[in-house]
Amino acid sequence: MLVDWFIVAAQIFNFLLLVALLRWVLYDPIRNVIRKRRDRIMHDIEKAKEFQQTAQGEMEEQQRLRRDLEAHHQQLLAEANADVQAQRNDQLSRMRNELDELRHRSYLSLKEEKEACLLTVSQRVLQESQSIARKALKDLANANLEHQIVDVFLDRLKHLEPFERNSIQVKDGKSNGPITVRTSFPLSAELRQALIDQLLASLACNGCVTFIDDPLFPIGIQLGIEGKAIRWTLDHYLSDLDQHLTKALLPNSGSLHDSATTSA
Amino acid sequence: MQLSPDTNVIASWGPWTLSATIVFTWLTIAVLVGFSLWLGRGLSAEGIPSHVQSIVETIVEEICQQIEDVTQQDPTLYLPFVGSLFLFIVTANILTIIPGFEPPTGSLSTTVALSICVFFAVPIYGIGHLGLRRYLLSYLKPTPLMLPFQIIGEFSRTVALAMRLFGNIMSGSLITAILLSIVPFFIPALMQAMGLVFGVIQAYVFAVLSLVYISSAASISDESRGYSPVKKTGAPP
Repeated sequence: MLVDWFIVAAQIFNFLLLVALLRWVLYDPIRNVIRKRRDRIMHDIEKAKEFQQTAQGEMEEQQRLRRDLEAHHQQLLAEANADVQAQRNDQLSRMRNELDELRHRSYLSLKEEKEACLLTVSQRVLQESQSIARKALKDLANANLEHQIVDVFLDRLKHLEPFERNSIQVKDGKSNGPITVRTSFPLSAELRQALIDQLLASLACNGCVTFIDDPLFPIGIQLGIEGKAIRWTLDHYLSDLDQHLTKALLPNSGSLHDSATTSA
Repeated sequence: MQLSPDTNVIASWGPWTLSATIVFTWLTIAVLVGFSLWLGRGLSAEGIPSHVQSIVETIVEEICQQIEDVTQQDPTLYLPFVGSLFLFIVTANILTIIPGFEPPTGSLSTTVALSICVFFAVPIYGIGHLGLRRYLLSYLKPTPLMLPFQIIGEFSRTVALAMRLFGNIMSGSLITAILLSIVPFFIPALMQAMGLVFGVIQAYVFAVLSLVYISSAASISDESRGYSPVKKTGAPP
């Protein structure tokens, strides 16, 4: 087993030839291909990074726009809610006011109707009572109601209490002002003279006496001297009935005749 | 039984003889260059590379990576020499599966020739990197007393390189031949398969040792020349 130096030299040449050939046909082409692919991949990676950055920027822009839109939406919603609430409150307030006004008008209307009804009933009752009283007085005592009223009023004038008399006599125990006698029925000359005489006797009145026949005046008689009055009517006989009716129909109000009638 | 293909003379012209070693070497070179030419026609950097191209690219890249790991330098300068060593030895050993093919690496003349190539490549690369003066001064380090040992080391490692490859390949072929005569079935095939593995391992060992010798002679950092190794693994920056 010896080394053949000719073969050694030939193999050295062969190997160096192989080195040159492989460098030409294998290493350089392969490395060039690898380098190109690496460059291309790096270029693609760079492009992908640029795309990613662009996409990231667009995504952030979209998110910002979405946030702005959401904030604007919330603001509009809040404004709309506030408007709706304000309109609702306004409508409710207006409706409540209208309702209160309607209720008040309805209450007033009802009250007026009740009062009218009560007044009608009272007047009707008064008329019927007068009619009954007149007829009963005629049938039982053969007396006239108007004469009896004047007689009762004259008797009352005759028996006035001192403080009543003082309230009518203005000064020096005399009444010199104009005197008004108001009745719901016409007075005969005889009754008028009786009244004048009694006024002169009881109150020392020497003024002019005026007689007024007022159909709307409740049945009775009223004496008016310088803004002060003494009256006698049949109304006070019906005051209990009037109070019961008023209490039944108008529980929160007083008698209708209380305000219109001043009892002597 | 022939221990070396050197003794198998194919032709003779006076004092010149054409042995089987040279013929099988040419055959190995032809296979390598022919395959490279065939592959080179279909090389493409665009799209998805073919399976063969991917395999060859992987082999070349692995060789480059090994060179880079050992030398910590740009592999471009070392790749043709070291890569050719590895590919030649591997191809020669793998072609033994062809009946009648005798690996040229089983010839001591071939392994000596390859070792001589390495022997001369070491100072060439060293002087190329360090310059003649610095390279020669490296033999005097750490102390001039080491010069004889350095020179002996240069020769002894060259001899060891040649003998290691020759011994392994020759012994493998010899064992296979002996087993073939004793047990003609199965065992020779098994040994042949193991011989392929050993052939690849020996090619790797020869190439790496050569690389270590060369890189030790050119042991200067290429970072001062603006090169830094590129790691293939990991995510790109």
